[in-house]
Amino acid sequence: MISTGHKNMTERSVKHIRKYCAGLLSCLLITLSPVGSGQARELLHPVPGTPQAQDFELHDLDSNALKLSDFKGHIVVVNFWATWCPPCRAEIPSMQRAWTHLKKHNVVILAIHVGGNEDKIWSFLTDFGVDFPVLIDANSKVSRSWPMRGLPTTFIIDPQGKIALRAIGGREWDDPALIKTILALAKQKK
Amino acid sequence: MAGPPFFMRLNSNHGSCYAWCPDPIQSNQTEPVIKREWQILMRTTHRIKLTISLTLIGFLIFLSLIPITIYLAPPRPANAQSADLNTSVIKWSGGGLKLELQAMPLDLVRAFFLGRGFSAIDADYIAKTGCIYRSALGNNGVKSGDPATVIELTKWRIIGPKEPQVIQTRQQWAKIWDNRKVSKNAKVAFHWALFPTSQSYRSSDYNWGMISFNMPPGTRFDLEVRWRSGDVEKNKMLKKLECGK
Repeated sequence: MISTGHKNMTERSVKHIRKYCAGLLSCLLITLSPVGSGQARELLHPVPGTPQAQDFELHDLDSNALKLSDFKGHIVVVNFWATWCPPCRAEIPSMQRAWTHLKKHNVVILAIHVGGNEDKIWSFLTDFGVDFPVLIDANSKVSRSWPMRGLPTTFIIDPQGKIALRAIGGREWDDPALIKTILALAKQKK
Repeated sequence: MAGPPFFMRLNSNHGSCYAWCPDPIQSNQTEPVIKREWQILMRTTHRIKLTISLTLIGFLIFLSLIPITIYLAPPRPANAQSADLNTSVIKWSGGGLKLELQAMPLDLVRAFFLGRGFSAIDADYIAKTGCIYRSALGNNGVKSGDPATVIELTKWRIIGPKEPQVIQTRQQWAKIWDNRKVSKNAKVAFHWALFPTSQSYRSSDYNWGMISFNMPPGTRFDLEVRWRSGDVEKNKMLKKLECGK
């Protein structure tokens, strides 16, 4: 009798403590969660008129020629950057993280280095483990022909080859909201 | 009958009783003892719960005070600078603009442009005549519907020891490099390293780049920053800037 009573009391107590701990944990999680709702999100802006992206042909570090038009039918992220541009350097690791997710959805990233110093570019890419294509715009001819004036600037090209979205300045490219915005382009009507 | 080995089996009034079995003499006192122990356990649990609750409440109050403290803190004036003018960063945000400026010491300017393919003479020329500031400027908006911010460096005014001057833009520097027969690589790097002469920024947008105020090292000046937020022209006076030395 004693042991049964004791057992019941223990069970009740354990349940009570469990409930209490669950309450405490929930309270802590709510308190410590990021204050995301009130803060600025990283934004991609629609490009008015969604102009046709100008085609280009550039070489990567292995001297392979790549054309933008090779990727028609895909969403293409075209990022203009340089190793000596601090926000460019800052965003490249997040772009690599985004790439690991985006490539599963047939999204292509083409990072165009403005100016040419292959050794420094190679060293930088190795340090950050970048494995998406990096093209060299040695004389900045392509960079000057695109609607951009400063580094970094990134354009998102829709599957029809039009410039749909734009970001001036660095972004955290693995932000789920940004990835969702990019992938949403695939669902848009042709 | 299956059960524990014999050495664990004890004789008791309860028949088959094992090692945990109470002493038969004290068996009548077992119930009150367990109740007492249970009460002590409950009191201890209650005390622990109370301590955790009070700690949590204190922690929550502390967390809730952080944003209030930040909100109530006086804003840092735009021209608030330390005694060392060359290394201080000017940060300001308001009216659709976010701004960060910092004078670059001459050695840093030389090193940067030597690394971009300039000769030592040309790198020194930039350092000694350019009054180079590193800058980050953009739209301080947080929502996609916030008005665009348009920055045109040619509209900024430098109020220095001489007549009001203007910023030396990419286009003006390009003419200098043509005359000085600078290499193509260096010219490309210089163009993109300088802040864009004119640019429109949506929320979250910003550019990084160098701004050339075109004065000798150590020159002190005031700067009127001008921009447009939506359709509204705005300005901000930054006082007591000093070119890098």
